[in-house]
Amino acid sequence: MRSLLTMLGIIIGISSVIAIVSIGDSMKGVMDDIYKDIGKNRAYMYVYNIEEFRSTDFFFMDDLEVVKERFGDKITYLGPSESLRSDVSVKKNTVKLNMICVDSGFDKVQHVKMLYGRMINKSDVDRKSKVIVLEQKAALQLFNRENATGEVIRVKINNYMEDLLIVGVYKNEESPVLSLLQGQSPYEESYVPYTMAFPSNYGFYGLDIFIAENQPVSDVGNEIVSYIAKLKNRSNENYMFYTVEEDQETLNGIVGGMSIAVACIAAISLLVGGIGIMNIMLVSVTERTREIGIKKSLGARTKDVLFQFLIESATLSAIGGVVGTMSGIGLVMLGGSIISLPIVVNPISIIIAVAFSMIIGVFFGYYPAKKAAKADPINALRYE
Amino acid sequence: MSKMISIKNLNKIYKNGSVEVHALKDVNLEIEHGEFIAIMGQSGSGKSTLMNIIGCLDRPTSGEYLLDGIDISKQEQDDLSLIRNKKIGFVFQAFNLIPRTNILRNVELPMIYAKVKSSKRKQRSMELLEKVGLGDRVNHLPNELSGGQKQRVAIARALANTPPIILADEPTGNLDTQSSEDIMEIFKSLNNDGTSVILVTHEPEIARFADRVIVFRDGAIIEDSQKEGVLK
Repeated sequence: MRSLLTMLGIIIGISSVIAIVSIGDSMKGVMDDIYKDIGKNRAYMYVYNIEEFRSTDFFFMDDLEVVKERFGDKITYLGPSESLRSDVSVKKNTVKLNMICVDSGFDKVQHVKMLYGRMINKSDVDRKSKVIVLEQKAALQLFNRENATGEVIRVKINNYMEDLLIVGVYKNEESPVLSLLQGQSPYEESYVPYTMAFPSNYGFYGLDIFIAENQPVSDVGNEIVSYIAKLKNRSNENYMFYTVEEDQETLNGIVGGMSIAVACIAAISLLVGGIGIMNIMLVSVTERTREIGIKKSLGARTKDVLFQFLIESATLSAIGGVVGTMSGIGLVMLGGSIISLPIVVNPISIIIAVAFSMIIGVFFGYYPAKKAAKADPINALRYE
Repeated sequence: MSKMISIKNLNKIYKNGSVEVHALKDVNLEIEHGEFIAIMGQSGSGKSTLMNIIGCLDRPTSGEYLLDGIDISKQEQDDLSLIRNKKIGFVFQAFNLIPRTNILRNVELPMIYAKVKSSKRKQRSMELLEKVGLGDRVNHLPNELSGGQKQRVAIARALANTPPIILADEPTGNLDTQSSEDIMEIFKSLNNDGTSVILVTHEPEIARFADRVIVFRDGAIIEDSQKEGVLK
């Protein structure tokens, strides 16, 4: 009972450290998934910080072609960062549709899981074909079946009604956490060729860029910015380049920093637990003075007694460490299952936690053990 | 053959604050291998102090104590532990078994400190417990035994490393007459096998088992008598 109370300090300390570290790790894992969904080597570029806009400041389709030509080996995809929204009705079914305007090859840089038909291709973009690729939920809601290829839907594009041929149906496979963060959107997703959705003299505000795997993302970004600024006769400050990678690093830094801060607070409870161990060991040494005396009379040397008490306190805190580890993992598992967060438990953190609690046991057990070991056999034997 | 124990001009002074207690005054004593000695005297006469010094639990203030030719007053604490472990088996009035530890383990303890191998330790402990008639109780805890049984465990433990000397401090003090008789018979038979037995007692009927009786008063030996018919 008494040892249990003593261990409680260590148990709480270790379990909170484990829980916090695991939550931190899990958050990082989740964010990694989210950024993988968005695209790790993805970047956005947009017109920024211009007081008086000139019509030429925006990105035109010709500009896109020039940049693609110039940076062909460094970027894998370049398109406008645009989407259009429209209500679609088929018989009595109505769906709010978000149409992402893409260039061909979008499915080469982003995973698009096609269920039926095909994705937007080069010929669609070149010919400004009136085609659309629907997400399966939209297809299901409109036609009561997933395979809606070959059907035609009427959507509103730039105030004109257009009939679009469904050439493919895909399934959105983003991580559940990302969907959770984005909340319930009333819009269903779809893809259309951007050349069809916008007139050829349209100036886009932002660009969606994928940098080639082996290229340094921010360096390429800077090059593109200076190239475009020169092209538009503007300075570099007028265009902003924003990478997902930087974003993730910032967020990871924040989460990591917070984890460390909270773990430090949890470590204080470990310290308190250690002091508890020291206290109980001091009581135990006093209570067992006579036992120490007997053992010395039987030939126990100073180090025999020292080790006996050190092993005892190390065991006490190591058991606390193991129990604490298990309850800590249990805690995050429970919490994780409630908010359906995939939990990552780093085995190294378990080893460190148990080893650390043993070290606490040895550290805080040393003084009481030393006191026991130095006991004079005669006085110890007489102790009542 | 050299003397087993040789004590010359031994003094022990306890300091308790400003009060000095002269517990042993110029004690001279020689004990040979295989003797059975009873040390008698009233409480405070110095017999227990002498016992502690002979048992290497305590060191004299002045004088010389040679045990098998080793000058005990010059040894470090850990060396004394080793000497106690190899040469002396203790039997105490209060039994002094380790609580919450079964009696087999209690008997094994001196052998653990002597670094005897586990299997050998176990075998020897079993033999010793059988010898004192407790072979069927090896897994019992000390508090499950009677006083006489506890003292027999203590004797088995004292014998673990086959020490040449058994030191018994009032071994029958907490026992009834029958158990006392049994314990003394065990000591007698141990002595017959060649082990020296030194026991401290204030009961004459216990002392009569010994071959030599030394009487203490006020820290000095006042009588040292050899029983008749015993060959020195």
